[in-house]
Amino acid sequence: MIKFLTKGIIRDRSRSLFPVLVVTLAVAMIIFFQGFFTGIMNSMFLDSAVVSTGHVKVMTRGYKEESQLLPNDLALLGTDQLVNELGQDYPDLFWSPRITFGGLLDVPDENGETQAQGPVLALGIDFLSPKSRQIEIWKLERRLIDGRLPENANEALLSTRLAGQLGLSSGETVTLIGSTMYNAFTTFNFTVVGTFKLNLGPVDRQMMLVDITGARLALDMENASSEILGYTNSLYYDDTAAVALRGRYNKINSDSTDIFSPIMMALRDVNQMGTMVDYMSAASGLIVGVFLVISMIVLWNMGLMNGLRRYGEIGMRLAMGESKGQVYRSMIMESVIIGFIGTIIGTAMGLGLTYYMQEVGLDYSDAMESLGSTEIIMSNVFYAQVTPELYYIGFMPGVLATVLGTMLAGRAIYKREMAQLFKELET
Amino acid sequence: MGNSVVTINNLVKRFPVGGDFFTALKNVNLSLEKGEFTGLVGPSGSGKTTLLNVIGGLDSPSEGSVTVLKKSLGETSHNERAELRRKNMGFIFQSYNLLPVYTVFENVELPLILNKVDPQERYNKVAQAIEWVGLSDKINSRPAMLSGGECQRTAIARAIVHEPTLVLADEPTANLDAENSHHIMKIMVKLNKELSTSFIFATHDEKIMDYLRRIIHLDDGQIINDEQIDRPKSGS
Repeated sequence: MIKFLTKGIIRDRSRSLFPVLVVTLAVAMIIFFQGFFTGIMNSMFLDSAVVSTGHVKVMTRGYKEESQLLPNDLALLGTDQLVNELGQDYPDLFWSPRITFGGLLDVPDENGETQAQGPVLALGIDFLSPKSRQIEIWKLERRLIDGRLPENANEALLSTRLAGQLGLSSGETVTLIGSTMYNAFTTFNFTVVGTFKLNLGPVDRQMMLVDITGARLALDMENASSEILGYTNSLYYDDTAAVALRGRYNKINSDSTDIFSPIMMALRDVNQMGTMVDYMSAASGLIVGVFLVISMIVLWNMGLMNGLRRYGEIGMRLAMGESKGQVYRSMIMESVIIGFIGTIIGTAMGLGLTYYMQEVGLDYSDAMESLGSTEIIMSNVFYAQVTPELYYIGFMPGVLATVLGTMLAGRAIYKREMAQLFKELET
Repeated sequence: MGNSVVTINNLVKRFPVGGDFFTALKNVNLSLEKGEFTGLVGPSGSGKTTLLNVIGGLDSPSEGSVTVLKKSLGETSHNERAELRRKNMGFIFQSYNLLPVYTVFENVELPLILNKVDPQERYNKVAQAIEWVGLSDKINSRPAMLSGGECQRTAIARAIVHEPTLVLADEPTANLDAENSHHIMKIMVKLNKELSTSFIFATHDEKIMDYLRRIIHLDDGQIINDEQIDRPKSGS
């Protein structure tokens, strides 16, 4: 009988191809939307995390209070030991020291006179230590427009905008004019080895990236850093886990009476990111949820209609002596098979599309131009993200809704007289 | 009672209509013997299809008793009635009710699959049944490729392939022209004689009546006449 029914399903496209197509499309769209929204969310969080917040970050209490002024006189000391301890205590994250500083960049002409000058926001990042993942998370190889990555302490990368403003190109030397962590005047020469473009709106307008060893030399910050940024190994921001970690760390390590005692902040604690995290989570959940419900109704209805359409066949099979249970079970089995096939194909399609968007992304640079003054760090390219739940989320609408619809339609087998099923065939 | 295929006593069948009931069969008493070729005849709404459905266990009686092949339908479970139909009954419908995605062979094969007949025996029986109805050249055709007469012949083959004791036919010639109607009826007369299968028709088609050996007239849910015909006009 199974062989007989399978033959029928395969031949009857309205029972096989059409339902499988509907399930496939619905599941693929659900998976893609879920992956796309998750990707956008995580992409936004990761961009902020990379440039300024980390998933969590540690600084002194004093630095936190004055952070807008980049007060490196309140920097963390004994950074190497702190990073080691954080790595041991919280192995799910990797930790990287960072010095953020401002100053003036002076470009000399061939006589050593000032040719151009401009303000700079510089980041001293741990690019050069062997286990550093900073080049990876900054995506510097992709974002490098010209030249090469820094290989020494006195080498720097400039944003294309800053390099353009100062008329600089790779190989030229610039002088940083600023103050040390002890508030003394300092000058330090960097060689520009390349230019980059972050595609993050206005954030890289005046940005210079140097290795942290160079920043330490320039600012006299031996084994010190403005902040230590922590990132999950998967680079996926889990707000609940980050908040819990921040709470645990501060309870043990932070002393509210000591401005030099360390304090940890989660991504949501910085620059209104908390509102953004809550808003994005709610919006994404709502959009995907609504779509999930709509898909479930469509698939449930399809299962229902497929069942209703077959009342005549059901009546005929009952007349020939199949039991009600047999007919009902065979209908459900059929919808389970169709649901599974559609869900598996849909999941594969959805994952493929999501993976493609994860790798290629959706560029909306033009739209970002109109948001030029925003302070929120946002990528100009939306990337989707393949997450573990995408592998199973489609089964709920794909199999469950389809089967529920069929089960409901199949109740007629028990509710109605068999003769009534024939009448419905003939009308 | 020894050769009785169907025994009906004081059968009443009511259907709910709105908040009330419509009585389709009123105190019907009837006995049908093995090998009969009987017609339930009457105008539309006289209750002949309802009576056929009750005999086939597709509808349940509201009152009275119906015994088919020594089984009282009121005292049997759904599964027992399904088994009774599967093994001992065949159905022929006005609209054929063939499964459109299956071939003639596969449609006819279905009752044998349900009866778990092994594949080789199944093949032989299906081929035999299709030969009886003269459709051996259409064995791989699907219903959409057949004429109305051919569809009904397929339905007949399906109804008799498992050699049931009783075949119930509801207006089997209603959708057919005269030539096809006579052809169909001749096939059924032949099967009735060769297999001793009992046939009960619900019909108001005059062409069928020429073949019947017993005509039960129904009107307004009651039997108004039960007529035995020793020499049917068709000579069957």
